[in-house]
Amino acid sequence: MKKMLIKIFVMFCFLYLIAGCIMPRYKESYMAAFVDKYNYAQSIDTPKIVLVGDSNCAFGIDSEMLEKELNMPVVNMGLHGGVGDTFLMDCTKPIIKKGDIVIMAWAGYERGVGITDGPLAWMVLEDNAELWKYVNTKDYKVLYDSFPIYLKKCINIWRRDYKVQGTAPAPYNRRSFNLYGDIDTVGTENIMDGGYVDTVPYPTAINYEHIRYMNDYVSYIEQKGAVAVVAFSPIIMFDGQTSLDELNEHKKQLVEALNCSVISNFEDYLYPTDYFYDTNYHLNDMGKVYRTRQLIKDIQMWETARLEDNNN
Amino acid sequence: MVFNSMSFLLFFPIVVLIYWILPSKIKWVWLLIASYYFYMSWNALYVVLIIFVTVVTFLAALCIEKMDNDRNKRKSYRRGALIISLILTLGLLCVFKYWGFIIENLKLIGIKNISSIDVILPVGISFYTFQAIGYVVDVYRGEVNAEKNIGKYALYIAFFPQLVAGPIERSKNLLKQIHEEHAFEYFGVRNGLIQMLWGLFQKIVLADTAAVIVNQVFTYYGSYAGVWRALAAILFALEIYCDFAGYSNIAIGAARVLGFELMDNFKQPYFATSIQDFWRRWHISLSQWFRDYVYIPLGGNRCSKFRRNLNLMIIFGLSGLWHGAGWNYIVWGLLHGLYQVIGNVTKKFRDWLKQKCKIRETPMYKLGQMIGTFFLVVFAWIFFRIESLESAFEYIEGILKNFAGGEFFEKLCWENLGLEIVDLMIFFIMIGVLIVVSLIERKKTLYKWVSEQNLCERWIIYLGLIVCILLFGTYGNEYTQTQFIYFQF
Repeated sequence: MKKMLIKIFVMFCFLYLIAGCIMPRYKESYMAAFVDKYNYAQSIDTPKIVLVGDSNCAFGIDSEMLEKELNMPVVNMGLHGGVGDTFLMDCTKPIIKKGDIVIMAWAGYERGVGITDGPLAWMVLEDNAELWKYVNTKDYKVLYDSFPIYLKKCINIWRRDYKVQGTAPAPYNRRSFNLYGDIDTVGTENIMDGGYVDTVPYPTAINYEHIRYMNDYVSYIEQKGAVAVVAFSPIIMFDGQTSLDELNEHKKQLVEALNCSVISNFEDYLYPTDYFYDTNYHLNDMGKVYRTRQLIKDIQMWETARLEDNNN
Repeated sequence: MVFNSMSFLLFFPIVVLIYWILPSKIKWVWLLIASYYFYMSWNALYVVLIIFVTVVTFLAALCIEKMDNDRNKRKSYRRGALIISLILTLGLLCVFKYWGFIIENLKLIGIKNISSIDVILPVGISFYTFQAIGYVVDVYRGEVNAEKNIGKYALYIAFFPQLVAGPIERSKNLLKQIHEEHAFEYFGVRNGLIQMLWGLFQKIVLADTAAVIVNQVFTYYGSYAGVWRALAAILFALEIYCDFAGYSNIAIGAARVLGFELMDNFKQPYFATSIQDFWRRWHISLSQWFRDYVYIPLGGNRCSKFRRNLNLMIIFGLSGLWHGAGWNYIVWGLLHGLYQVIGNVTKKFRDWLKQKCKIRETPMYKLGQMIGTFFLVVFAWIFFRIESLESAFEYIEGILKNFAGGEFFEKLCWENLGLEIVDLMIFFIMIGVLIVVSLIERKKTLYKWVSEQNLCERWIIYLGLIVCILLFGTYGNEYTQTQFIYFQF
């Protein structure tokens, strides 16, 4: 048996060597931009604003404008909802420091808990060994099961053009992000046929497991001496979109369920199709400015209210 | 948990390691736990069904053995116990597998007031029910003694390497080995791992890659000329062989790692020189099961020619039905029956013709037989692959009426098959590897041939197979590893 175990060990070393030649392959990919956001956040010593969310944040916020108006450094950790909201929350934990303001903006609260797209998560983690300790143990199975898919994607890239590491055309690559973590510029056009991708109304269902996860995340943030709030993502207007009454009712439910302030109102985030870019969640440059101005107002109103509460 | 999944990659080494550490007396207990865990990983409720089949057939065998047949009335009790166990196990199979098909066909003849049951076909049910039935019949015939230990019998039914897609084992072989002590044997384990590796190569590199082209052409056959439909049919023959033989190799290899020897299930079937020969080489465990438990009781070869041919048609019709609850499967089975009936009926004439024309069985002649048999098999596979008979006939019509052989030489047409040209070329090279291995296996098993090579050569083979699987294998979409075709049966 000893001889067999030694041979199996040698086999695993060989496989490890192959893996080392082939991986990582997504260093220039959209997902790999997380490294830059992470490093930038770590480099900021003073209290900062941290934007946490899916691609509605990456494609919808002008962090430089936010920084100038609010006089605080801003880092936009928004990335890709496909990988799982809870995974993104877990991976931003290491960068939270005392005095930070964490603004969460998700495109819906009906989503499940955990990693939803394993290969995407691998693309984030492949070059970030330190993030592994923040991955929820419940997500290990998803990561383990999806490893062959991720490996195959790496192998395909390696076979076809070993120089090109998972680069898609702009804006879906690492170089499309600016220093703050925003997608830099996409122009002022809406490139969707008909103006929107699908007519699925904004979801007002709430997955309370998701809310519990958010509340645990809020506790973690508060233990670190930071504060968390929830803002809303942009909502595209079309016939059949969720009504404002339903959205306001949805806000009431969120306010009751969440252990942090909800600083936005839905009516301020309902935008015409002209403000959107290539999906129902991604804003173009015009929409980004409009949304950021609204977000600044929301934050300023919240801060004023907070100061008043503290004085009382 | 399929063999080509990450879950099995974790499950198997843990099971093997603990198995070889445990004392001999309780090894079987560990295997039983592991086998039930393996089965329940598909759906925990399935375990109720396998326990039902296990208990029914275990008790039936004990009853049969306990009743001696000195007195005539005891003989009818033995037969009664056998019949009850058959009704219960086959009844279970009918409910889960054929109920929908039965209802559908009753509706066609006007019987509409029977309600359908919405059930998912439990994986492996066709295999373990047949294995259990085989055991009860063997006890009834006095060929084996009834098993007294229900735990060991449960392991015989649920032994995980062969649980979900065979080989359909015999109690004389597997149950006997469960009682034996198994000492760790380095070469046995090594040979088992080699066989598993080859099985993975067949599945991931050959079967799953062929499936890309096969699925593309069969799904959109309306937009493909006859030459591509013919190619897809040939590749389906390759796909189903590599998929099923790959699975069998992994199963047999896994059992060998644990010290068990399972029966071979394939013997280079596409080298068969007749349909009869094909069925001696394809899914051997099922063919032998039908021979021993259906064909022989129906009279076998010891009856009139007409009856023998009728029995053949019945056997192959049932074999088709075993594969799936659909008329296309029955037609596929009946076609194979018809091939053999025609072969039997024309045998005298063909022998006379050979003698008259002084045809000797030269290698070229044998090659001709192999090619002829192969095309008969491929033709039948079309019905197996396409669920609707109407579509199958349309598919064949397209091959005959619009062959367009010239397209075979157009690069653009090859690019429409679902794979890039480079991947296609690599795929055809891998088919070459399969042919070479099949030629080797005509003389000896692959692992025996590998063990005869030098150390360096053996490691080149091991690492070469692994690299091929990693670089050229077709992995599943999203999180779902591609299923083995025979799991649906």
